[in-house]
Amino acid sequence: MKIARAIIENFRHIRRLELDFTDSLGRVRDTTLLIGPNASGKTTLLDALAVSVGIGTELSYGRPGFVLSPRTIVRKGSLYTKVTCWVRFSHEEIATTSELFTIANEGDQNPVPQAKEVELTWTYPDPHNRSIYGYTECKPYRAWTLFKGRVKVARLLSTRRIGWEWFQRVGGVFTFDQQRAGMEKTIPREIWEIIQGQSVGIDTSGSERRTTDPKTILLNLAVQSLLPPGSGSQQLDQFKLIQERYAQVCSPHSLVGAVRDESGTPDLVFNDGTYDYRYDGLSSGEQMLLLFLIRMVSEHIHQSVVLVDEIELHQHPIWQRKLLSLLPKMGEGNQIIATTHSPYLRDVTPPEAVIELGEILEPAGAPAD
Amino acid sequence: MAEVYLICEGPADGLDVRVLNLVIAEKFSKAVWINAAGGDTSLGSVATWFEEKSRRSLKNGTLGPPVDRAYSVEDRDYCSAQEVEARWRPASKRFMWRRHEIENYLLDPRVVAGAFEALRPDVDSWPGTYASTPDQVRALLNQLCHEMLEHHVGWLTYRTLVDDKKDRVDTRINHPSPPLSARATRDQWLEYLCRECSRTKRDCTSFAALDEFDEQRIADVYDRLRADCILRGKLLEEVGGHELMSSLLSHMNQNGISHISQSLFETELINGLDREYVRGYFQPDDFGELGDRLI
Repeated sequence: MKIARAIIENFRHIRRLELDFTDSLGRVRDTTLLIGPNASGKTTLLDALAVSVGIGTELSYGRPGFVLSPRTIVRKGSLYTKVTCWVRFSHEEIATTSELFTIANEGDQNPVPQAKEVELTWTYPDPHNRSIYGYTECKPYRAWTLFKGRVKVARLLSTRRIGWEWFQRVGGVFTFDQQRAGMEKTIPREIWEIIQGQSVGIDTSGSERRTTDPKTILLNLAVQSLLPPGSGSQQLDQFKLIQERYAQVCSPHSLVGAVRDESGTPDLVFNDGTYDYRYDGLSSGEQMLLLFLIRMVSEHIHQSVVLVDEIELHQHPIWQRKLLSLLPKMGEGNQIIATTHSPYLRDVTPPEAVIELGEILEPAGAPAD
Repeated sequence: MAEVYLICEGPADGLDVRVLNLVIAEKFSKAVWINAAGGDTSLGSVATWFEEKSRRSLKNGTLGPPVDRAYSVEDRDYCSAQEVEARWRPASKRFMWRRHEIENYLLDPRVVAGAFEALRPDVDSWPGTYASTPDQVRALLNQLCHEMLEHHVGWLTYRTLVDDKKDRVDTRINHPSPPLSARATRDQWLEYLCRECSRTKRDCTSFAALDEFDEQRIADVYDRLRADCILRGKLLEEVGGHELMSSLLSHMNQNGISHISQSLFETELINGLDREYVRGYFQPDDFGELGDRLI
């Protein structure tokens, strides 16, 4: 899915704002930069897009710490917040979603329409008082099914009725906040034991463990890459992909692989072109980049709207540009909408793909950026 | 750690910056700051400023040598091949494109054909017979180049005449070199000014007597340059790339391919270059050579 246009009304301090993410041929641009000074509302815009479309997908919406309540969302003096997005779906996404509903035996009740563009309107709070998440309306009506492709994949995958590769065909909305938080990954028990050891008092009674620790997630992918083909081929690609992308942005630095240190604990080895160093020796810029890469790869982010707050954070200007160029290439068919303060990034972005937010908000009481 | 800068022509968010960033920083993975000089003059001054600001104070109170290195690459415009090659000599830091300007690399028929392919599905009115293969695109671009031939030769002739004049006479009234003292007297100033004006008058008289600048000789130069251009067969590389791109867009528009702005087309060409470019793609590959020289 891709957001072609959006109108945001009475969201925090935004009275009314119209955004266009298409080029002069009407195609949705791969990358759009939102530029503006502090408190110009860049993060607010990302929140509005994330929550309005994200709620429709039934997957997580908004960045960690985002609070959905009338007091924090609805503009002072207004009754409702309203966000209208014109969301586009490719032929493949429509066909895949239709197929997913059929596999889930819901195809007859919920036929998926051939709607390439859907007008989605989210009103908050719900004027009918039916949902605490607000009221979402789609035009055409049946097009709400198009937003459920990814959650359908997750559910069918949990019952092993389809494979991971289906995530490449349907998208969602993903938000990267300034801490690049929000990543969570399930790790098979046997790999968890390899990484963490069995003698550290961890309850290993379950078959899987969930973690948000990037080092553990990366070690998991590295270990999976060592498994024989067939048992972990999917993960093999993921670790290799992260290694390739990391080298592209951080050259001459590279992610060498996983090793056991002197005490037998698994660790990750990096190289700066001359010397090896471990995960603990990563700079904050490298850590932030890894958070990006791990999440993009391990969450199979494809055909999705990727919202990034302050893309340049912790990065040297030369790495900023590489990251900006690499992001759209990290997955298939993603739309990147990123905020930035960096003039160095603006200079390499086509002028028509830059939205300046300098004066859209009322100066008094503008939200913290 | 020493920083490396590459200064190019154009505005901060211009085409040069975007193309150089794509090839030098991304494709070659060079840790180079790509900066625009803001126009088409003083690239050397901007590069020098980047180097000068990296000089550190030494214990004896003087400034040390520059820590950072700054290179520049400027448009060839109407310079001769000899002038261009002189800029690529070993140890040079002030390079010059071997093609007219950076647009001439983007207008490589293979890149343009790729851009057409990417644009075609989104333009309903795209004629089925419009150039699509690299060979067809080359033929179209060559046709457009030939329409610009007189414009190109006119400027080449102008440049030749200016250079010839510079070599023979100096018709400017120059300021004193070395400068006169701040305490120079009226007599000293008048002596200098009269001498300089006399020299200028002599040069102007000499210039008037030169038959190289007569009507027939100018026409001869024009015709010789025109014949040379056609004989070399490199118009696609030598004519103004910016004008050629405008000409191509105009041709597309006349053939029903509308709604494509210059900015959109440039972006599509850069995407095309991103897909196509590998070291050695251009012959000679100025980008590859530039990348090798930077570190």
